[in-house]
Amino acid sequence: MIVQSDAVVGLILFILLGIAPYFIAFYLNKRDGLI
Amino acid sequence: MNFYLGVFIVYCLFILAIGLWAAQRVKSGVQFAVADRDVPTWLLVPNYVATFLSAVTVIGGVAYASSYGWAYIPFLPLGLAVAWIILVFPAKKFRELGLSTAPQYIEKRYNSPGLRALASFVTILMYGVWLITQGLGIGVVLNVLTGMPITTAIIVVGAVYVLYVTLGGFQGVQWTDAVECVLMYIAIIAATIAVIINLNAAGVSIAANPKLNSLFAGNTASFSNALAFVLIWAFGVTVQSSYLHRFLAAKDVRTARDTIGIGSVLLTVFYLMTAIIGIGIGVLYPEYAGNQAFPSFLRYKSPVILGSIGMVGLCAAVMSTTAGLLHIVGTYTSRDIYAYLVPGHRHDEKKLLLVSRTSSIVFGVIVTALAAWMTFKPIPQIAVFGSNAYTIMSSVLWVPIYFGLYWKRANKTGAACAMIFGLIAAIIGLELKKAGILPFHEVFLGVSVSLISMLIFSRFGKSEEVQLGQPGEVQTERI
Repeated sequence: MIVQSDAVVGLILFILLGIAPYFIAFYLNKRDGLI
Repeated sequence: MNFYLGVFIVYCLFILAIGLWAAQRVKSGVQFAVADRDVPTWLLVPNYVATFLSAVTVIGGVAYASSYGWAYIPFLPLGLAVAWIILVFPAKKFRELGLSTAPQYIEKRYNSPGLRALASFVTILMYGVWLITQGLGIGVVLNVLTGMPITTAIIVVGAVYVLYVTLGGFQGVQWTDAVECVLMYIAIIAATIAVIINLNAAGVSIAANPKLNSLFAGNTASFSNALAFVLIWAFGVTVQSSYLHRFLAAKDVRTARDTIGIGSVLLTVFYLMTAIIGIGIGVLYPEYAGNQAFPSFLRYKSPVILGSIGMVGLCAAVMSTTAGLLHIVGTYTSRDIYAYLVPGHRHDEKKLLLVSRTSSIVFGVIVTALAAWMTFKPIPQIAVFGSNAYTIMSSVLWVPIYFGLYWKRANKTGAACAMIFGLIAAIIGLELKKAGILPFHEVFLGVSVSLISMLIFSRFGKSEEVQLGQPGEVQTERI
């Protein structure tokens, strides 16, 4: 194991939240017929 | 002349040339403020990312990770990610209204030029303080890397960005930001690779220092502290004019949203690399842990080429942020404060351009001079103000902006009380915190009082909703 499990959870959570705006923006643009 | 100094001079001339080239396009106040609201995604994304990444992010982030390891993630990046998610939502409304400044939203939503001027005044004051602290920061870094006296470094960096912002406005900012964004990523990728190579060469894993392996340490030693920091950044970042302003310059609503969407992915990668560099340095050279971690690694543990690339990346981080802040200060002084005081010039774009440029250069010279002055005689109040700017801006602006967007019954009376009582509560909160009485972060007091004020006092004012334009309709009002 590289780091403690809580750090792994934090890391994964950050990556998921960090890329979430891309999908939210995509969804909203799609919903509004902008794509 | 040492190699670092040579690279620094070439970098400054290069950025100045780009800024001055872009400045040729600026003929009116609207071009200065929002580049004719025609910026495409490929240009706005690096503009947003470069403005977001400051010396504090890079040097401070590496410093924190070198001391507390993965606890850096809940301390800063996690809260930023929550803020990026929130920021996607106002993009549409802000772009559709054809605004020139973010506080103009408050004027339109609550039908009050006075509240717009107040929002602008608070922002200008806080950004002025940040400009001083950023200037000081790069002065110290350049001193470590090039040996240049701190004062000289502050003045040279100040001269470059003040000049291209004054002449080029948003045009100057967006083109220099695009280049600076690329330089920052080259630097951070190169530094990450260097740290990994050094770890391999030393035969140690990034987990070799057990102190750096936990999610909970330092300022976020418990889950509740970590949650508090997530909220602090979420409130603080989502009211920043320097980010909201990017929506106003976007070509269309889709561009405004995509800027946050794509920008967030790029920023996620950047913050992960910052963490790896910081923890790597903490494992390899624990003696460097702290504020000097990154500059010392570049200067003493890297080949000259990598050190120079890193230095250019740090300069790019500082200049892109300071330029973005100064542009906001110049634009807001002209369009929110001057146009409020002299209503007859509200639609005189030539006049507004002149005032924008004059205020940019006056503010730029003052903040650079103050930063240089502080190298001889520190002014403690400025550091205190700088570190509390997020609290004050969140307490004044968060509720009026986001309740304005999502609560139909929010009105002028509620917004005015939310801003004024939020400001008072934030100042009292800071004093109580200093006295050791407040058991939680002062931002929660400020935002809570602001929120309660909005809910209570919106009952007293007129409750009709101000029409902000229909979805899809782009209003092209010039101020």
